[in-house]
Amino acid sequence: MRISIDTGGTFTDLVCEDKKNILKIFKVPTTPENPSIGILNGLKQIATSYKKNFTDFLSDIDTIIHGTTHAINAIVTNKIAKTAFLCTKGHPDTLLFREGGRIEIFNFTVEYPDPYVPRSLTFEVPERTNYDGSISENLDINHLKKIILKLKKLKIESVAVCLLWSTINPYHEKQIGEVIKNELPNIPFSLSHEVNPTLREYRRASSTCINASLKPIMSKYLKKLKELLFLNGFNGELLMITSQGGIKDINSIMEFPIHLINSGPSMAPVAGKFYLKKSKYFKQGIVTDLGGTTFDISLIKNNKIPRTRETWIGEKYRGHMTGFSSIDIRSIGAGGGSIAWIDKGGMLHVGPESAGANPGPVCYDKGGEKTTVTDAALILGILNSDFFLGGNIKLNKNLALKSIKNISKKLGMNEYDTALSILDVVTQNMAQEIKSLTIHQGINPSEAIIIAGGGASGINILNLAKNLGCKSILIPDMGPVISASGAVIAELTDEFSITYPSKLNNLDLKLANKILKELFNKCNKFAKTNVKNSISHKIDFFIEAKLTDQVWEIEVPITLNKKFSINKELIKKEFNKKYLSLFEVVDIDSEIEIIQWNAKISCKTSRTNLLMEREFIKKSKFNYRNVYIKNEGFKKIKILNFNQLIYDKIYKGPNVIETPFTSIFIDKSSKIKLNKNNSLEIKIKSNGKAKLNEGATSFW
Amino acid sequence: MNGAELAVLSSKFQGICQQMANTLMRTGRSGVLNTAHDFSCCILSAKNEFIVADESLPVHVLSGPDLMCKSIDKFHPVKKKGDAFLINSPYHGCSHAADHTIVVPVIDSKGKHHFNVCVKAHQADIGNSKPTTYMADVEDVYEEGALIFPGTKIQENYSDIKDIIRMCEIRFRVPKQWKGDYLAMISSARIGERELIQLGYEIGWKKLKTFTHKWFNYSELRMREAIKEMPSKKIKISTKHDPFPGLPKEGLQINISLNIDNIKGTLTIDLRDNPDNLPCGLNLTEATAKSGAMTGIFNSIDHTVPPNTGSFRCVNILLREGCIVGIPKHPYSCSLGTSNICDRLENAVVQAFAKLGEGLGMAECGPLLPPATGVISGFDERSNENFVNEIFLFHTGAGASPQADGWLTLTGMGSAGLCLLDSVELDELRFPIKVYKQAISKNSEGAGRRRGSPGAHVEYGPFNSKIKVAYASDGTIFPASGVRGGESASPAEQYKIDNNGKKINLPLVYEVELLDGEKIVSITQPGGGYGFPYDREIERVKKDFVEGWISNSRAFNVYGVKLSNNGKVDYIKTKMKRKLLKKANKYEK
Repeated sequence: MRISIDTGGTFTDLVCEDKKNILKIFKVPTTPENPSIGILNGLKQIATSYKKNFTDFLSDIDTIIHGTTHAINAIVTNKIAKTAFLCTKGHPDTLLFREGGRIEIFNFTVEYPDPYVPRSLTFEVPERTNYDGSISENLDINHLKKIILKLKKLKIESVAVCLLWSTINPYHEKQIGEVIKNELPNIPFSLSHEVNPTLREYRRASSTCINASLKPIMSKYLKKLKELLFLNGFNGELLMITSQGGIKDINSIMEFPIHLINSGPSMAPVAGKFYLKKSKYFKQGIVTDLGGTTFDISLIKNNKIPRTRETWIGEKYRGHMTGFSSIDIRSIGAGGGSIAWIDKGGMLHVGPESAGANPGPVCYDKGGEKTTVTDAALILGILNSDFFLGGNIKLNKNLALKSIKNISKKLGMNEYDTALSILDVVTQNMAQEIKSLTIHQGINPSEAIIIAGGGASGINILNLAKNLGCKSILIPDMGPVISASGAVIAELTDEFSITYPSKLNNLDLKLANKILKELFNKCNKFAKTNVKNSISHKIDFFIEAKLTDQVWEIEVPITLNKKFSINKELIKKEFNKKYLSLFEVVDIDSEIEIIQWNAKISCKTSRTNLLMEREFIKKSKFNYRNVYIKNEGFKKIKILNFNQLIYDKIYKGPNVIETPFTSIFIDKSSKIKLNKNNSLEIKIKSNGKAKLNEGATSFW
Repeated sequence: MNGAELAVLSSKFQGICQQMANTLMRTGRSGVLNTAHDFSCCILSAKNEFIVADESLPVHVLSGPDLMCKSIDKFHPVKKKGDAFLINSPYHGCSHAADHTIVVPVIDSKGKHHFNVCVKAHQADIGNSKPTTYMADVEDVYEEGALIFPGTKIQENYSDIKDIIRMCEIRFRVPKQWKGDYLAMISSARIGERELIQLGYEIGWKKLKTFTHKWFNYSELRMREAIKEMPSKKIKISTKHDPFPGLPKEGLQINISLNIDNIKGTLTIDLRDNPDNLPCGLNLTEATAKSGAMTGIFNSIDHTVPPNTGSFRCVNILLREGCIVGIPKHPYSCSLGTSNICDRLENAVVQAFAKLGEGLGMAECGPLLPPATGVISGFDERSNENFVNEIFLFHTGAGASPQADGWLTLTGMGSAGLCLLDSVELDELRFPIKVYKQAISKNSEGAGRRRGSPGAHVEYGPFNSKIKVAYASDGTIFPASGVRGGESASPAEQYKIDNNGKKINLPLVYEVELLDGEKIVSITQPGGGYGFPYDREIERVKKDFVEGWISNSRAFNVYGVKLSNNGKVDYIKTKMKRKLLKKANKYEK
């Protein structure tokens, strides 16, 4: 038995895969003070559903795969360890300067962000390594020992070390590591060349400091969780979800907890990729996850999940860069709880303020007074007052109607058109963010299918697709727990890199091959020592390279022959191919410069098909409900319960599909069917202007 | 059209600009483009009204695109689908000759002209008499030497007019790089055109026209509301630019007068009381004189008021022909029209607003181009090649606003912080240099209730080589001023340290040669303070001390906060000192 657990801000999602590879999903409230309790509650609920004694149930589990927002929460709420930062003399402000940049050009009301580690806990170490690895100033050990004394006095809980050019020659960092080990034996430390051996001192320093600051708290949390599970009878493997969209074993994560920053959301595109592969007709996918407060978006491009080198904690240029390449996920403050408001000039806005889970939308009747997206959807009849979250929450439509009057008066519209407008504005905000991501990654949204996840996705997914020019939407039955379902199928991964800058033409082939061999050995060692139940594994090599005079590298996958030697011509070809796909031009005359060499190992450990059992209810009678439709007013619309749907039968709109976790309005120009993978497929009628691509037409 | 449709359509227009900018950023070649972010994209109506821009350099777009489109109308009254125009003439609406601009008219299949899209990007080379786009020490545009396009058709029927391309290729020093940047600009403009046509097709051209009309009215209303919140007053203010070659020996005084009418909701900025054009490269263009004033205005009011023709209806900027801060007369040179004097103008405007009352305007930001962002050149033995490139180490910080301390990495008011900073490791890898130090300078900030951002000590030099460094550093004589009792910043400084460890002071505008082992030190410009330093919250002063931004004695003498060496506050001594400081202050009386 395998279980995946995604601890989010409000809910902890669990997916259980039994021995026959059949899945069940569960949702329990998160317990923010001690997330382990929520996890235990969830596991107990699963045990009960299988009618098993808790200890017996836990001892039956082979693997638990866990994603958590605990690390990011610790940073946001400043519950991280008191961390000291040791840097090269003369460069104490690397974390303060960052790499420059600013947003909202006319807004001078925002304070400049503090450095991740305060200057008062930053210490300059006399030493200097040059760009070629030669040393122009030896490490001053006596001075270092004086710093260590200060650290003791300051009761530092963790130490980060990032020296200039330690990626080329880590000698000084290693020396410092030895001194810390001897002088501060109980204090964890992180060395930049081990955490993130990448060029650009800010990114490397930031990674190292974030990692160091998380080490004590995350080790404590993970050790305790492990203990708790083992005490209750669990005897299997505990794996953690990483920001890179893979999973790692708990010991390696305790050493490098920085990989937990986006643990959780990174699994949505992993699930999306799985569904996309099944649909056969699309190579590009847009994966959305609409929850209570945020809307997360990720992509699948040519069956791969695109990554970004720039991941920020907090807003871009106002937060901290993790320095790692990770899955490119965008998140905006638009969800069911986003609040609608009118500015001084009479323009309607939705968000970024959110009513959250408490007090929540007005219709929750928990004291909320400002109209939210959920309220608008309820007013229009898209949501069912008695069947929200499977009937767990009763919604009060009258309260929602009363609150929206404040807005409708200012807009000079009736309450229902106002509700439609609120959904229009929030849909436009979402579409804008998706466009920005797709442009950045070089994808045409109209050639992609939307894979919709999250509890609130049904509210406007159809209009969102129309806004983007998408023809098809896929709503998997596991959509409401899309991240946890991705975790069930995720691969055990690790990445290794070596910095060796060289122009491709002057490349020392012997040295390059030696580097690749070293990376290959590291990958194999990982597979042998860390992976117990591997079904198969593969190793991918890639380089970070750019054209002469450019400042930003791109990640290029490279192919090696069986002897692990490289071919310059082939690298050139591969670079140009990648460059073309990103920038729509090739520059064959400019020289290619390689900066870094990387290898990634992925081990497959699951054979699941992501299928849940569905309880088919044969019922010929349907319920009806009044739904307010643009330019038409209220219409009596047929309600289809998910469990009533017959496989592969096409249902023409208009209708509303209700599943236990979401409800979806299908207009008259669209069709829906349930496929054998328990996913709803929605086909939107083309407006006739744009040419349909073959994939979209053969989708049926 | 109601407030909801307005919201959706304005977001769609914004999105198109973003898409244009993204294309330019991703495909541009020169560092000025992809690191310094020195470009902008905007959309105008067919009548040349400015509708929307992406997060672009304010000095590029607030005025200029409108003027350039008017010039193009004059030279090309009949436009066809597929046309594109190149313009960079400082006498025809461009900001300065280095900012090549592509304008594409958006024409539907029936031949009706609905919009103009405009893409502007600073070029790495424009065929000047010397290999730089900033020519301070020149007599006129002839000595500057740029190839000038007053609004020249460069594409017809979606294909290049090869004659023009060939002229550029033979004249510009790095033709391949220019061609790459030109293609990036063309594809950016064409994407804007394509998206607007698509939008017109979907929504209807008539509705888009209604949208622009309503959008302008909405923006005008927001602007009027913002002005009505300020007191009616006439303010005169002046600031000084350092005495660069070609400027008066005592420095150049820039005078502005600001007049607010809060009943009508209008504001006027008069720039006519300034010297005539001077024989140097520092003259402003009409576009930058207007944009400079406008940047100051939009930095001083509610930042959510959208800048466009609608909000501009409430603003009147008075310029004089033949004035250094006005409309330049041919052949005076405007080579540095977007930076030095323009920077001082923007800063004078925010200071004028600060004079209106508490909570308004800003203090002066650090002025530009110290050696920390110099153009370095030399021969790289590692690659056997010559190199010329601008580096962007830490440079100028922002002045304080009423709400926040100065933004540390503003890099000049005109660039609004969009310019990114280089990585030390990357610079050492790209060039034969070594960066010895890059750290903020303690006690350098303009003190205030909100303080300016500190400057920095930046020290670098050749590594196993020799290099030249060219710069033009303002703020050495006249540092950034504080407002409303806030103090001025400490001045910029630049000197060389030779191989005997001797310190040699360097001029304001210079190209210095450094031998192996020698170093150049650039003490970069901090920003001025806002409000009296003794009104700064004790907690903020304490934090600045603990974090090493200010010393203990500065905390006491300037901010009036008595702190022990470990940062403990002595509240009684603080209260007494603050009382004394307040009493001694003439301004407050």
